[in-house]
Amino acid sequence: MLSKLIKYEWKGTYKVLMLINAFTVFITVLCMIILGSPVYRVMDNESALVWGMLLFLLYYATLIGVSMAVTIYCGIRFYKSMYTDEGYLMHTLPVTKNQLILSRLIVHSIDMFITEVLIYLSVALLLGPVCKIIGDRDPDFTMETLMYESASEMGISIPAFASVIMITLVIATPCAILLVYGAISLGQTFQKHKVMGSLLCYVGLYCVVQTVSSFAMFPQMITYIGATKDSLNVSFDFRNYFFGVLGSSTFILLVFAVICYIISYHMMQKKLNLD
Amino acid sequence: MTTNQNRTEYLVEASALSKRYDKKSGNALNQLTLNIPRGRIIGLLGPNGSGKTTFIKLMNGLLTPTSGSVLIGGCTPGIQTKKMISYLPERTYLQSGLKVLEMVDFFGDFYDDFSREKAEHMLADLGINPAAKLKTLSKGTREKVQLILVMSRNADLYILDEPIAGVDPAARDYILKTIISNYNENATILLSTHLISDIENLLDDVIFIKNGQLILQSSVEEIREKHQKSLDAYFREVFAC
Repeated sequence: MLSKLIKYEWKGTYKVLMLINAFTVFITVLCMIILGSPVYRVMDNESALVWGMLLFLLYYATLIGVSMAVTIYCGIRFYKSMYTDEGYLMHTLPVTKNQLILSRLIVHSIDMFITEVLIYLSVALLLGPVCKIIGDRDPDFTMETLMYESASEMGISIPAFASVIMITLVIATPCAILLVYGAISLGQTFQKHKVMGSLLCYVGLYCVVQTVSSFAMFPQMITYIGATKDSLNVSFDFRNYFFGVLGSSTFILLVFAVICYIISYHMMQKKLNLD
Repeated sequence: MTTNQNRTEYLVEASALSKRYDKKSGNALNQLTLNIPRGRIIGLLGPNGSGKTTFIKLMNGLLTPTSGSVLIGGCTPGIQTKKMISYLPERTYLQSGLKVLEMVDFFGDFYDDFSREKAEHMLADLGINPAAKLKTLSKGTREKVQLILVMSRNADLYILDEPIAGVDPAARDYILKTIISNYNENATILLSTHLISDIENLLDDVIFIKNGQLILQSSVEEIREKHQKSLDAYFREVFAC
């Protein structure tokens, strides 16, 4: 039954997902065309900087927009299929509440993951043209030197760094989706204005997660500040700091995701009240 | 589960069933106790806000009772009871982005007792294009599609909440004919509607509910004989404002 639920949820989401992700492809192609155009190459440094900044802002806003749109869309899908009229169909199917939540979680995580991978690919694709433009103006600068300098500064190779980010994404993506589900489910406890209630719950949950994560990162931050205060201190291990911060924040997110799963399950199992 | 089903005399057993939505409001259902037998067409009747839909939702596991219990074939609402119940809610629950045929596939995938042939036959009878997207259909046609899907199952209990309210009188006749010709004689149909005169001739029994409590459970024949009135006239008398 889980596979059938996944199949129908995927069928219901993939078209909109493709449409949203088309913006990432579009902005990437647009940036590549502009950055690779002869007009841009012959511009003086000042004009190139201004146009580059504008292009970067447009690019950044599009990627943020795409990421937010997919998250919001997944939230709407969950809300509609679980707590509105469509819920009458879903909750009368011969399936468990766990299967209902898991099917959405799996599909929406894949949706989000595809979006995130596309964004990373987009950044990776644009890195080449950007490095080339900088290289044209600064002969000492190449992509290889950037990679090498970044890697030696971080104490970790670029492929290893990319792998860590990818693993973190795999864990953090379903957790982020579960935060949305938890907020929507908590929003159902409101007598009226359940959508507004869900939004408020999401903001509240997000703030709590961020606050707890900040406290968890505190020891690493203290170490970092202590190490960077003394510029002669070369013993500071950026890799440990980075993994510490990433690990603790991911762990906190995981804990809250489990709590949100339990909340969603409880709301559907014990407190379901479709209008 | 099968053992339970064979053992229980009644298909639905509600015992002191109460539902309160919030602390401020009163009970939507108040200590409702009733049994629903197998093989009957039963009208669940009552004025607005009497608790009919709450009772229906409780049977379907869409609400949890505040107190008391409801058993379907001896089981509390869950996966097993959902396999037994074919439920038509008072609202459109179909995913508007799908085509009619995709909804047929959906029902076929999830319900073992769903007959695709029956559904396609009824769609053809009502002139509904299976390739049409649900969002392009009128509200009435969507309701017809929903009823077709529900009645194409070979369920033990059909719960139909206002099945004819949104459709034209011509389609009403077909729908009512569909209802009586598409269920097996061991199954029970529980019909909730305000259009009593339209369904009066179909019903074997009626359940009257008011303020969340059982007012009357009787056969239609008994009402006619005892009160010398049609069901519609008797309903108006009992629930006169």
